[in-house]
Parts: sequence; C-alpha cells; structure tokens
Amino acid sequence: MKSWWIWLSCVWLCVACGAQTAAPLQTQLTLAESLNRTDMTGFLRADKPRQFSFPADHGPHEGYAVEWWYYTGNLRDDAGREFGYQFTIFRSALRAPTPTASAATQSAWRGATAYMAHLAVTAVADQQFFAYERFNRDALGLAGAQAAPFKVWLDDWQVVSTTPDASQLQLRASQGVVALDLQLDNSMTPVLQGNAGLSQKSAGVGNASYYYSVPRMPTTGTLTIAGQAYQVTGTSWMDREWSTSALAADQVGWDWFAVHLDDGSDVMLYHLRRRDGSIDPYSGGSWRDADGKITPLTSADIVLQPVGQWTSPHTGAIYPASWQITIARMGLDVTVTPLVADQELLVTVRYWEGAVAVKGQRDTQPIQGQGYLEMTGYADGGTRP
Amino acid sequence: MMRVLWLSTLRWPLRRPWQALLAIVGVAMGVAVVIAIDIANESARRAFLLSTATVTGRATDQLTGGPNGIPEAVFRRIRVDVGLRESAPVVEGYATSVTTPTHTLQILGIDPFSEAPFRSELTPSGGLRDGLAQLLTQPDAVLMSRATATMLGATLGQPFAVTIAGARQPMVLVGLLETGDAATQRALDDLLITDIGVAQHWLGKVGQLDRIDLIIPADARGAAVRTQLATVLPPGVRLTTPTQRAQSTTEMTASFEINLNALSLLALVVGMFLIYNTMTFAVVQRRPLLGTLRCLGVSQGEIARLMLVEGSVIAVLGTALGIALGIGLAQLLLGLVARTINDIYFVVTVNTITLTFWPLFKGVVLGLLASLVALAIPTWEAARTPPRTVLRRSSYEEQTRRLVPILGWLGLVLMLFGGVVMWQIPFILASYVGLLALTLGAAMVTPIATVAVMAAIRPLAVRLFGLIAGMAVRDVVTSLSRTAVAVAALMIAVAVTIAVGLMVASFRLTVVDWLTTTIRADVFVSAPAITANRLDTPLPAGVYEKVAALPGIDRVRRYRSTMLPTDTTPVLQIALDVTEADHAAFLWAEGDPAQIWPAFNRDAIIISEPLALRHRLHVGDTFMMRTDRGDVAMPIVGVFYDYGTELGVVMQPIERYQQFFDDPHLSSLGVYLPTDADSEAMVTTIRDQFPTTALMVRSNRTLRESSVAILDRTFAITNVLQLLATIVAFVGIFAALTAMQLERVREFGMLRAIGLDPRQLWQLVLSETGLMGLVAGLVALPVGTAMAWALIFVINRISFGWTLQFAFEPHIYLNALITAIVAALLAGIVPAWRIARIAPALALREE
Repeated sequence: MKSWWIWLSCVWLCVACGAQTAAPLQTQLTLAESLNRTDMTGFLRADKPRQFSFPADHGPHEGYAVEWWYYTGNLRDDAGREFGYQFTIFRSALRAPTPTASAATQSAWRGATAYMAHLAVTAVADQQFFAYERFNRDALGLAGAQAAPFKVWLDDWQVVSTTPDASQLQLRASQGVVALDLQLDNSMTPVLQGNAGLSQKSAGVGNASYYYSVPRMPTTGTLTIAGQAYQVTGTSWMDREWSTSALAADQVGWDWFAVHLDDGSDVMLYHLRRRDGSIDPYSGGSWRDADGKITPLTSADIVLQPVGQWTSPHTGAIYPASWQITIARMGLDVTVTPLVADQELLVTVRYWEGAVAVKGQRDTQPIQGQGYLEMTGYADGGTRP
Repeated sequence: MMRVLWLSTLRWPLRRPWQALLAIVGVAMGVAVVIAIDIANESARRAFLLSTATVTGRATDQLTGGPNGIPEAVFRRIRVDVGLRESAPVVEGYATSVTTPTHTLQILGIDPFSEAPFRSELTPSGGLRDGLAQLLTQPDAVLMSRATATMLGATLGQPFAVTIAGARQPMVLVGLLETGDAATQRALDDLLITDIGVAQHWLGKVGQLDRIDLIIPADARGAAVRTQLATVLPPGVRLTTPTQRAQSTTEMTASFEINLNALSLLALVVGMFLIYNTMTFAVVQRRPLLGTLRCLGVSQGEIARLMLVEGSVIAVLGTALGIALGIGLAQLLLGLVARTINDIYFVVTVNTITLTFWPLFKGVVLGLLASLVALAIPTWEAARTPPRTVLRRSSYEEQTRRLVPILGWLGLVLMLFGGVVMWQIPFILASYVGLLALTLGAAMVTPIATVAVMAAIRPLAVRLFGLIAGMAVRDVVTSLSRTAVAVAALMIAVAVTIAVGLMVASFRLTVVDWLTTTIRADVFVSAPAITANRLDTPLPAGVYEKVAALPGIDRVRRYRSTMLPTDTTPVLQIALDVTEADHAAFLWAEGDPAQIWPAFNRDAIIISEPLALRHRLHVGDTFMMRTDRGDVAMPIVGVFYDYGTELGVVMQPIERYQQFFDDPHLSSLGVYLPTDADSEAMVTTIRDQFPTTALMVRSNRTLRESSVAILDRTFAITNVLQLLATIVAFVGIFAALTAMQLERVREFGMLRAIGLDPRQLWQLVLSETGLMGLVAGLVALPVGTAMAWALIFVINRISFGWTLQFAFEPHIYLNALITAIVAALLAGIVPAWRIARIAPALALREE
C-alpha cells in the first residue's frame, strides 16, 4: 500500500531537503498543482491484470506516473538489541513521456523524472528514531532505477543486486548519524497483491496500482548509529508498487501493516480512511502462510481497531497508540504496539512509520511477531487529499 | 559687544549673497566630484560582490574548471561516488533587457534539488513554492524579483523575452522572489533564476557546469572529503574558495579604480584652490571692517573666531550641498563606470548606486578640512596684522608681492621633487604623489609667472591698445592677492585638460596604429558578447566549417580567447592559427622574431607587454598555465606589444590549446580574402549563410572602428571628470573676478568721474580678466605637457603596462588656451556689466 498519499494525494517535493535542516516547510513546494496530475494524459494506467516477470519488474515502469521501492525490516544484534529500518525510493514523473519533448531537453538535466528517498532507523533499546529525506532527478546518473543488473539509487543511497538474478541485494545508505549496509535475500517468490498484482484502491477503472511484495527477506549486515557499528540480522519486507492514479478524493489517509508472525505467516493489511471517518471498502490485505499459500483478504475479513492515542510532540498530530487486529477468518486476534512511540518522520510530508511488536492469539494459541506499521493522514496538511 | 560683532558678520554675507553662494558652490563642487567617483566605484564593486555573495550563498568551497567549465559528470562523481550531499551545480551567464540593451541581467542556472543548504534567499516562501516546481517542469521558466519583473515588463505566468548572446530568448515568469529584507531584495535584482538544464540550453553550455558550490565542514570529516575529492576530480577542475574567486575578479579593476580616484582627487585639488580662494577673498575684502573692529577694541581671538564661524557655516553648507550633488553625479557616473568595467573587465550588473559610509565620510572630512585649512591662513593673517596696517589694503598687496618670488622658488623645487619621484620610484602611489607635487608646484609658480608675463606684455599692450590696456595689465599685478589663487586654479584645470587630452590622443594614436598592424583579416566573425572588448561567447558549432567552405576565400584563421585563472588576477588566453603571413601582425617588445615562431609552433608561448611587466616575466622564463591536464610550465619566447587588456595576454597555437583544454569552441574567425575582393560583399555573404544565428560579421574597417569606439567609450568617464574640473575652476575664477571687480566699485566710480565712459570700463574689466585667462592658459601649456608626460610614460606604464607613443596635438594646446581665455572673459562679463551700470556719483558715495 504505502505512500499513495505522499505521491498522489499530495505530491510534495522538498527543495529544502534533509529532515535535518531547520527550515524545510517554507521551502516545500507542491508539484501536484504544477503537474496537474488530474490530467493523466500520456501515462499508462493500472487498469487490468498483467503478467509479472522477474527480474524485469524489479526495474522501473516509466510509463506510469509514480513508483516505489519500499524496504522495511526488523533487526537485532548478537546482544539482542532490537532495531528497525525503513528505506524507500520513490520515482515520480515530472511530465508525461510525450514524444514532443521541449527544446530545453537538449540538456541532460531536463529529464522527465524525479526521485525522492526516505531513510529511517529505530534503535529500540535507546528509544531513538532517526529519519532523513532526499531528492534528486533522473539525470546524469544522480538518481534512477534499472532492472538488469538491478539497481535503484539516489545520490549514494542505493539498493543493488549482487547476483545476476537479483536474488541477493545490497542496501547502502547513510546520513547524519546513521548508516545501513545490509544484505537482503530476495530469493522468495514475490507475492502478487490484490487481483494477481492489480490492487484496486478506489472506484473506477485504472484507480489502482500494480503491487507485489517480497514479505520475507532474510537480512544481515551492519547498522551504524553515531559511530557505533552493530552487526545485525533479521527479516526485511519489500513492497513494490507503481501506478498513475489510485486514491479517491474522500480518502484522507490509511494505516498499513506488514507483519511477520512467528508461525511463519506474513500478513499485509491496510485500511483506507475516508473523510467521514468510515473505512473504505477497497481496504484489504493478504495472508501468506509458512507454506507459501496466499490468501487475499478483503475489508470484510479484517477488523482494525485503534487503541489509545499518542500525540506527536513535533506536529501535535494525534496517532493511535496501538492497534487491535482481528482476522476471524484466520483465527487471529493480536495487539500491535510500536517499539518506540515516536517514529514520526519529520520530512516534507509528515507521517508515522515504525517498527512494531505483535502479540496475541491465533486459534487460541499464543502468537508473537514483529513488523512495520505506517499511519498517514494524521498530521497537519495531510488530512486532505 | 559680542552680539554686535556677530551681527556685523551676519550682515556681510547678506549684503553680498552672491559671494557667499559662490563660496558654498565652490566647496560643494569639489566635494561632489570626489564623492561621486568614490560612490560610483564603490557601487560597482559592491554590486559585484553582492551578486557574487548572492549567487555563492553559503558555499565554503567551489569547484571551478577551465574555459569550458566543468564537465557535468563531475557532479555525479561528487554526489554519488564521494557522497558529498552539500554540493550544488551552477551555470551562469548574462542577458540584457530587450528594450534597454545597456541593462545587464545575470542568469543563474541552479538545481532546485541541491539549493537549500546554499542560497536560502533564492528559495523564500510565497509564490516561489510553485515557481520552483515549475522550473523543473516548464520549459523556459524563470524566477526573479518583483523589481526586475517590473523593469522587464514581465508578469506572472506570461511569456516575455530578454537578449542572450544577441538573440531574443523567450521565457516565462513562473514565480517572484520576495523577501522582507531590503538588502537581500537588492541582491536579487537583475537576477534571473532558472533550472540548470534550461540555463545550459540558453547559454550554449549543454554538458558543462560553470562551477560546483560545496559546503565542506572545517573538521576532520571535511578534511577526509577534501582528500577524497582530490582523487575523483579531473586535472582541470580545481577546489577554490568563493572569496578567492571574487577577489581575483575585483582586483582586475584595481588600476582602473586608482586612476579614477586620482582624477577625482585632482578635481578636489582644484576645488580646494577654489575654497581657499573664496575664503581668502572673504578676509581680504573685509580687512577694512576688521581693522575698524580691531580699533574699536575687538581682540585678535574674537576676530579669528568670527572668521572661523563664518567659514564653518560656508564649509558645512557647501559640504552638505556637495554631498547631495555628489550622490546625483554618482548616479550619472555609475553608468560610465559600469560600462567601462563591462567593456574591458567583467560583467557587472549595477543599475543603482549604493550609499555606504566611507565615501560620504570622506566627502565630509575633505569638504570641512579643506575649507578650514583654506580659511586658516587668511584668518590668521587678518587677526595678526596690526589694526592700522589692516586698514590699508596696500599693505596686504605689498606683503603678497614680497611673497611671490619665494613662492615661485618653492614651487620650482616642488615640481622638481615631483619629477624625480615619478622618475625614480616605480610605484603607482609614488607616481601620484609626484604628480600632485608637480601640480602644486606649478600652482605656486603661477603668481611669479603672472608678474613676468604682465611685465613682458605691458609695453606691447600700451602700444597696441592704449592706456586702458596698460591699466589692465598693471591692475592684474597689483591685485595679485585676490587673483593669484583664481589664476592658479584655472591654470591647473586647463593643464589637466591638456594632460588628459594628450594622454587620450596618445593612447588613441598608439592603439589605432596597433589595430592597423594587428587586425589584418578582411572579415571577422564572432558571437555577440556583453563584454564588448572580449570575445567570451563561443561561436555556434559549425560556423567555422561553413565559412571555410565558402568560395572566394583565401583562408580562415581560428581564434579562441578565454580567461585563464592564475594565482592572482586572471589573464586573457588567446589560442589562434598563426601562419607566416600573420607574423607581421606582431610588434615585439622582447624576443627575436627569427627564433620566436619556430619555438611558438613547437612548445612555447608569447605574452603581452602588460603581462610581462605585471608578473616580471621575460623571454626565457616560463608561465605556469592552468590547463585541463593540470599545471603546465610554458616557456616564454617573445613579448609583444598589446593594448587590448592590462591584465595581460598569453598566446599559443590553437592546436596546442585544444590538446591542453577540453574546449573545442572558437571565439572568432578571421577571414582572409584575395587582394582585390570586396570585403563588405563577403560580410553580406557570410551573414546570409546564418540567417537564424546571432552572429557578428564585421569587415576589417568596421571592426577597427568599433574597437576605437570602445576605446573612446572607456575614456568617456575621463572626459567627464576633466569637464568637471574645468567647471570647478570656472566657478572659482568667476567668483574671484566678480568679487574682485565689485570691490573696486569706488575705484571705477573715480575712473568714470575723471572721464572713462562705460564702454571703456567694459574694456578695462574684460581686459583684466582676459589677461588672467591668458596667463593661466600660457602657464598651463608646459605644465599640462609635463602632466601628460607623467600620465603617459609613468602612470599608464605602471598601472597598465603599456608603452604609448606621445601624440603631439597642437589643437589640444590651442583649445586649452582658448578655453582659459574664454572662461576668464565669461567670468568678467557680470562684474563688467554691473560696474558699467553704476552711476559714478553713487559709486563715489560709497564711503
């Protein structure tokens, strides 16, 4: 599911850059208006199921307006210290790939694509959270994506394949006090979300995305915080999505869950919240059991209940403090609790995304798990599409 | 008692408002000229630094490249390989307003994604948010300040155009840069901000960056970054600091500024004479009154105080007026200063003056100090003299006449001193001290010269024009105390006119000769540039091939000129084709032509005379050239005369240039035609080949004419200053003569009473003033020549490194003489008219 909201409901480009710099907001600019993305002329639409093909589909799909490579993971070192990370690279078309290019495209800088990336690291033991943001354009090799050999990068932040079939990936990114250098096992067969990879987000043909996930990526590597390097292992989740339009005007935000249960199941759930507070029927998810059997879930299968409130000291936004998830069909009844309360990304468009612990019962048996939770549309400026 | 005393003082200027006014104007003119030049210079310098600071932002370091900038791939290496995120690429250039071609605009091509750490003022709040996005998405989108938009007549969202490299470039205003802070707002004026890709396209710099701004911390991490940078940078790309860059650019105009300042000081010297003259006069005239006051028991101190207060009022009013005048004048001069800088040095976008503390402070101090110094001598003299003597005017004249020979000798010594200083000490400051000494010395010699000239012409005057003429001659001598200073001031002004005239003429003669020798091709093809004297815009690709292929052409000479950075000021690098036919185009200051050319074609360079002088280089030395392959020591095989730029020129074969620099561009072409071909026809032919390209195609004659026109343009400011000095002197002599003649009303009344008719009085007055003008003019001839000599052979050589021929132009002397006499005659008209009108009885009743 991920950041529709960031790229479609309200596509912001931060020219100030850097979550660290003091004055980002006044230098933000909205691309949405200038791009007039309601005009989708010239872009392809996710309007019918398609045949996925790997590793080609790991690469960019330039006919579509937006696309992302989304990595989240729960890690721990030998001493049992827990960490979480999020690394996302977004692609956004600045204009439709029309054959009539403007005169200024003589210059390599005048590419039609821009990239944005977010890097966030959670140190559970110290209750610390770090988040950074970058932008660049698909020009001169400053940022970009390619299928073979697989690589997606922005400046020196990158994910590259270390094997020809992209079964092994290396993720490297550093900024401020944090650095990631991780090896991700990408050999699992991707899970096609929605209808064989076509994920309908709102009414209307084409208001959908192509969406696949690699739910379980065994991960090892080094995570550095403030000069202290930790050798870590764990599990990552990769989400890939591309589309041109998806959300409807009355969808104001969503809550997304990616959970690894200790019985070997991987669960992805999301619900889209509407302006009137109701849950959109296009919400849903998927269940992949330890054997690889995939069960699509619809909004009728899922009950997501916010529990308590957490008020952001940064934005004043009020987020659910935790969640109660009930999936009667799968016999699941668990509580999802953030490992660190404050995992709000203070980037151009503020949202909450962080590592969570999962605890509860499945078919009367106790069950645990870990994963990532994303909550959008709670902070100022994000409540309106 | 004291109140009565003050009232008596007050009464004086009120009865003679003209005199008080002239004194004020005298002070004002002197102050105005000095501060105007200062403000204009300072404004140009500040505008440059401010725009540099604006476009540099918070960068600590900059990467700069060779003439063709930096290959844009270097930026990727810095961002992706080195991971230096605080890096911003910049492409810069210049445009001019379509409606006002003299209005220069700076184009700043930036990468909005990289900007934030660097130039926050370019990314303020408000309408810009959308603006920056549109920079990325819209073709030809620009941002600018509201003032600039108003000036260009551009409205938000609407297309407009500016001129870039001679061609109309359409663009769209997509956002306004607005800040609350006036200084920042000022910095944004005349700045067009666009996306780097658009700037590359507009400025013909696709694939290249002008610089990359960096923020490298001053800690260990920064040191590591520097080390890492060194490993990825190509040899031609250098790490420098913005301050270094700005400094070496502003230093280019150092000589130019010094010379302007010297000229403005000359105006002040004339102004000081004027002030001195006025003040002296105020005292001299009042000697009877002062004597009476002394007899009545007023003490010396009270008299002195009285005079000082009065003088101070004049000084303050004059200085205040001078500052107001100076600011206005600065606005006028700024255009000339900026144009000269643009013509020969670098592009500066300055359209309004900036008032800063120092020029104004300098003006105030100079105005007050000069007035008080000028006042001190006559005050002291008036207070000191015993009352009885004071009452007799003749006592003062006697004193003056006794002083004249002493002054003359002192003047002579001072002139000698000036000459020796200039001759022996090869520093610009010493030269100016010498010149000042020469000038003051000449002024001191003027009174004795006046006496001598009068003695010489008196018999002749009497024989030719009769008694009246004889009287006039004697009057000039007897009223020396009142006339000497005015005559000296006029003399200096006229001498300056002669000196500057001769210097400009010499310069012109030399350059025209040089142009004739150097400019040999029949037709020249170049791209339009803002810097008129330099060809920094490259020719569009393909022009050379197309021109070379035209029928009816002997050969085409390629020419590439770029600015080459050095450790100090940049030098002009010229790469060109040199065949045997071109050898005669060079005049050698050093080196043997027989050896020069073989070595030049092998591995040596030739340099211009100013470069040799500036860097103390000679044949056999090497010049360290910063190339795209690193620093290369090039042997110098010849020094040629060049009057194109005082920064200096290094010249090399174009093939070698292209080996050492990744720069395939050409700046201009010299097209040689068969002997009897029609070059104007070829101009048309070539123009027709490129109907859509902005090209300058000029015949030999046109190019030479336009080169001379540029030369003349650079002297425009010199001429203005010269004119100002003359005006100051004219005001001075006018004030002095008016006062002097009016003072003699009683004497004239007596003359009328014993039978002189009004016409004869006219004759008398005008003869006197005319004679003074004649003396000033005559003395100015040798003095002006000496000053010209100093300017041409000492000052020009030291500041610019040029060897000039001396142009002896009789008409300059004749004009100077006529100017002196006419000015003096004009100054005599008002007093003559007033005196002739007064009834004799009334005049006699005065007492």
